[in-house]
Amino acid sequence: MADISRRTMVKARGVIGTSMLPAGLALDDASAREHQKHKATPTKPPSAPAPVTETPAPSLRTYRLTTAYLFFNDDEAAFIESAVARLIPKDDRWAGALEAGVPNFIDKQLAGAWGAGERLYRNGPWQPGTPSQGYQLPLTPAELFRTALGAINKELSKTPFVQMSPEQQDGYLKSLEAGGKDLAGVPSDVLFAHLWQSTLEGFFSDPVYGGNHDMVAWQMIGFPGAYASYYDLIDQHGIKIDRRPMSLAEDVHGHVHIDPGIPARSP
Amino acid sequence: MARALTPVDVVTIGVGLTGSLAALELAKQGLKVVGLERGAARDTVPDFQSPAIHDELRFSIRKGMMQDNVKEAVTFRNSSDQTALPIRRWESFLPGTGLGGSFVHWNGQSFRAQVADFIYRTHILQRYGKKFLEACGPDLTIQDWGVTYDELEPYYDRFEYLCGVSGKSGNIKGQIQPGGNPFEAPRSREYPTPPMKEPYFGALFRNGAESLGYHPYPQPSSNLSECYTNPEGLKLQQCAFCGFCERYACEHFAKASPQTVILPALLNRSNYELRANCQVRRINLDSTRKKATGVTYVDAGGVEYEQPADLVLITAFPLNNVRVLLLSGIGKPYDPKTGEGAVGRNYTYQTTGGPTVFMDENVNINPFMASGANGTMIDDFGGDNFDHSQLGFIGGQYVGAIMTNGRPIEFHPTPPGTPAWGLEWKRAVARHYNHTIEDPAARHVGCEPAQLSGSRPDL
Repeated sequence: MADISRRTMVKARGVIGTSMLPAGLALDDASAREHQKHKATPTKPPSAPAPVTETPAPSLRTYRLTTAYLFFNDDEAAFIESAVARLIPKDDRWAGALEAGVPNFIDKQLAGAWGAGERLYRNGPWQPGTPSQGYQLPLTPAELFRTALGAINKELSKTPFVQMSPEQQDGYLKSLEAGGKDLAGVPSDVLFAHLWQSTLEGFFSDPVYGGNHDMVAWQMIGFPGAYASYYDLIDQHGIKIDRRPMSLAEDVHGHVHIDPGIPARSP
Repeated sequence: MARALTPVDVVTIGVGLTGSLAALELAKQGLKVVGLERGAARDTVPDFQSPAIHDELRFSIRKGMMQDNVKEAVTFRNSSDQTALPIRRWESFLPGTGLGGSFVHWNGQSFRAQVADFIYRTHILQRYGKKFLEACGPDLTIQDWGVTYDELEPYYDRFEYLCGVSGKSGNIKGQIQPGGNPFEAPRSREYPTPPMKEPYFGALFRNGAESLGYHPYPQPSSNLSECYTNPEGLKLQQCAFCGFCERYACEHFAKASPQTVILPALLNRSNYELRANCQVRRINLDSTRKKATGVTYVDAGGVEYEQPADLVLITAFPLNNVRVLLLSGIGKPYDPKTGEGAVGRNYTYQTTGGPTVFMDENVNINPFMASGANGTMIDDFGGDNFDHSQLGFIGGQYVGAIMTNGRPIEFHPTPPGTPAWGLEWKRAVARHYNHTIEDPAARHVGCEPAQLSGSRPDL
């Protein structure tokens, strides 16, 4: 059997437009079977893989990522990929959240300690509270995303998010953002706030966490990253800094080691 | 049943700045001192090293150096008519934990209070009269401290020389000094180290402030401008402006912390013992309930101990100090409705706000080059440095360009009217990130009574 080089969502990509680039998977058969296990709903057994049909726009650098989802099932991943691509889109100069690997970042956060409720107080009393009293739901981030995404995908089962036009997708995201929609117990504005915050984090955090691939977000803004010494530069007012950004997980060859499991505790 | 231990002279609840400093003073007098720190022991080497410490997600966003909400949280409400609910994730105030406490991950901003602050009620009455004070409303609970600036000045001086604070004095023994803050309380001598280098945003602010007739001065900083050996013989290094200051420990030995300015002189003393991972449950009292006999604490394994001591020093974070007093049944809890009780009274908090200045694209601000306490500010609108008689409020604020970082998850400014997300947002971030100055104004003696000893969140 030939290698599977795209996930099934590729078939839908044609209606989204050329601005969407794949967070493609290069899977062999064994991985594909493994990947099937993460789907929430029963699926067909793995069939012959679809041939590669898409080529990237030749004038753009593409960010082709290999993402092994540990938390998101196929439907959830499809929504997340499409959603973050609208939240921080690619443009002609700079990659967007999808290319930067934000879906991978969010997946690994939700699969790990933070998703399971690290540093989150989860005893009662349980009341909605005032806005300044902050998050008051009993859900861990993992539970929140799973619950809310399940409700979203159910609501959109006739017109999945991935098949909407970009304008329709933006409209749907704005409706989530505005609140007033109950996603199986999760207020939609709470889900949106989590999604936006996670997207920001995945875009701008150190690439050790699996996002900000190739430090594209840092290159875009000119943030040098984990690099730490500016004593000789700080009084050169207005100097343009052109150094390549540096990750905290970078070895001497410039290779960034990914380790999303760093616990959020004091050293 | 708590295991009884051999009595000591002094036990400190918490080994942060206060606990370590008091312990050093008392150990020097020959007293036997035990420090109980609920968090882990940690030191610059190996715990605070880069590049691992330069992790914005872990320390700024996930609050890695702060108290773990899973283990201990507080409830919060803005007014007594609300139901207090748990703070499930820290947002506004951030209690630290671990050896060195908050003085490990603070910003290094090192001000002295003003002369009037210590006799605030008297000062306001004398300057503006009784009617003015009454017009501020019954929620204003300011008092005189009971200790004056003049009494404290020698200790301010000692503390600044312990930390090696970098700055330029504006008033030495009543003589106004050029280049410093002319409104500051008089100092007995100059700062121990010179001011930090002025970043670009500070220089731009200075030009603007001078042109308007104000009095800009360099922010006093415990991130040092040069190498320095303190009176304990401990050596600090020069700050590298790495831009990972507040929320982070300093890997450079450049920020004053218990680890850099106190602990090496304390921990090797034979009459001092640090017990980390030991959390005090309560202060024990004798039968009169007027005298402390020691504390009960639990160690990392949950075993309970009773540590008798002649002196119990309550030296945790102020919030936790109040909590241990309440848990121990010491003193009368403050009741905001009646105004009675001292325990928990006048817990005060700082808020900041200010404009964001968007510069031309050719102006490279480089906000990532910064320390926690650099930049340039004015005190012309601070405290009672200006006439309030027609204004109907007391207090004021500093104004300055004192950016501390360019960490992008937290800092990605966009002009008003920019959409909250999407392509336009992204383009605005790319355009403005390196060409923007945020100018905070900190209200440390509030514009409304809420900031200074008045109605405030019940915790």
